[in-house]
Amino acid sequence: LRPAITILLLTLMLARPCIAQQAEISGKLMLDTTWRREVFVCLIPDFNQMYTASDALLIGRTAIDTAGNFMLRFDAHKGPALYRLHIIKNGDPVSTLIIGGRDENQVFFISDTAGKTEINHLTVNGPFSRCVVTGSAAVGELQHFFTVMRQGDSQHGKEGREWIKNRLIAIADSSSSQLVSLLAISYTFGLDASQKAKVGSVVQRLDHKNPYGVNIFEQYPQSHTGIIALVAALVLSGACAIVGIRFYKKRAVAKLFGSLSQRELTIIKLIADGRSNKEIASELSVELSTVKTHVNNIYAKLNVKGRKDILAYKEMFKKHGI
Amino acid sequence: MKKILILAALIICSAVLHAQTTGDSERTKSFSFRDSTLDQKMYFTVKEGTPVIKFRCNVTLSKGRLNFFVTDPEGKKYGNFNLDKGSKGEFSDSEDKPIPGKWMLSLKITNATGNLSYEVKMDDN
Repeated sequence: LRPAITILLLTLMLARPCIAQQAEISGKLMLDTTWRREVFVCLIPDFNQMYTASDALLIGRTAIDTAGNFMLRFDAHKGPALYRLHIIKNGDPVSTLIIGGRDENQVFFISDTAGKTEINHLTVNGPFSRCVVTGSAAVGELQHFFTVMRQGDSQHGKEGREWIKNRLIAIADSSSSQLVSLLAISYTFGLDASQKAKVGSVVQRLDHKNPYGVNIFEQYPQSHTGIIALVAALVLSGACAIVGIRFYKKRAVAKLFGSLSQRELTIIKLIADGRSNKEIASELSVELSTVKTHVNNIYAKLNVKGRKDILAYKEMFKKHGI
Repeated sequence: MKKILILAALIICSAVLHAQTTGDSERTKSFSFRDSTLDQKMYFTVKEGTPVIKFRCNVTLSKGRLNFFVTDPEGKKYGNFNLDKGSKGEFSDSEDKPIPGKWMLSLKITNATGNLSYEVKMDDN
């Protein structure tokens, strides 16, 4: 029985990361009879699909009870993701979006793995015209973004447009949620050079693997200053290493030559001139065996195997006047 | 020769007038489509001092895909929404003191069947 339990436990431990974490959305919505008593939750994979009505985005639905309460658990996306909760009117298809106006039927929220979000309706003047969404810090920052966007609607003319642009940049800069930063950047438009530079510096701080930022990262590519500095440092250290190796090699060779006697240096010069041992013996008026002994000593001291190897030390010959 | 020139001028004038009239009427449209594909961009000019511009679009789609949006001369998007088969969309928005210049309404329908009505209304006070 014990091995069976061990196998079971091991299987459970291995399977644990594969089991999707559940996130939760709950709240209270006071709706009139025109609305169906059901909420629908969609995962928004990118900002271009925030206002996409499609059954393919739907990840969960649940009924609203007679008191207006609802609670839905759904498989959480790995990492923070953008979700949309919407309701529909009686007789409408499940994927119905009402954008703008009193009957706007959707609200957005961010949920992390096992995140809990709550939506509470404050007024009967439209389903989401005044509702409070609470949850993680990212949820709060997302609500702030939409509040600013609503405030932007009451800002008119050129000054109003500059106001909203600068507020969006400020949100992107100050938000602790990368998703909210990216969302704010995605809503910017007609930026001047200084505003673009500010956005660019914010983008540099963001994780360029965040799927919500694909279009933004194309627009503001990652700065290569760091990579250039790294390559320069590598080239410089490589050059230093080559110079250092050459220096130590020369010093080592000079040391070797220093160990040679005057007679051996004379013989090296003659070898370099292409003379044979016999010719060297005749020129120096010594026995052939003596020349051979000197040549063998030279080979040993310079750690070479033959006459050709000795010629490799040409530069050193010059230094020693050979 | 004179007659030919006058005739040509008349033809050109009538063509220009027709295009302008069509441009105005295109701002309000209601139609049904069946297995249709359409990629239409319509441009309209907002004059300096226009107090408000209003947009409205209602769509029901039983098949295919649809994308609708309006952009101002600075590239700000209004109502960028997509509909998939079996869905419905209602969009309304307005902009006070809209930026003057060339605005664009983009409508893209892909292998779609459904009904669409849209309106772009400017109060020229």
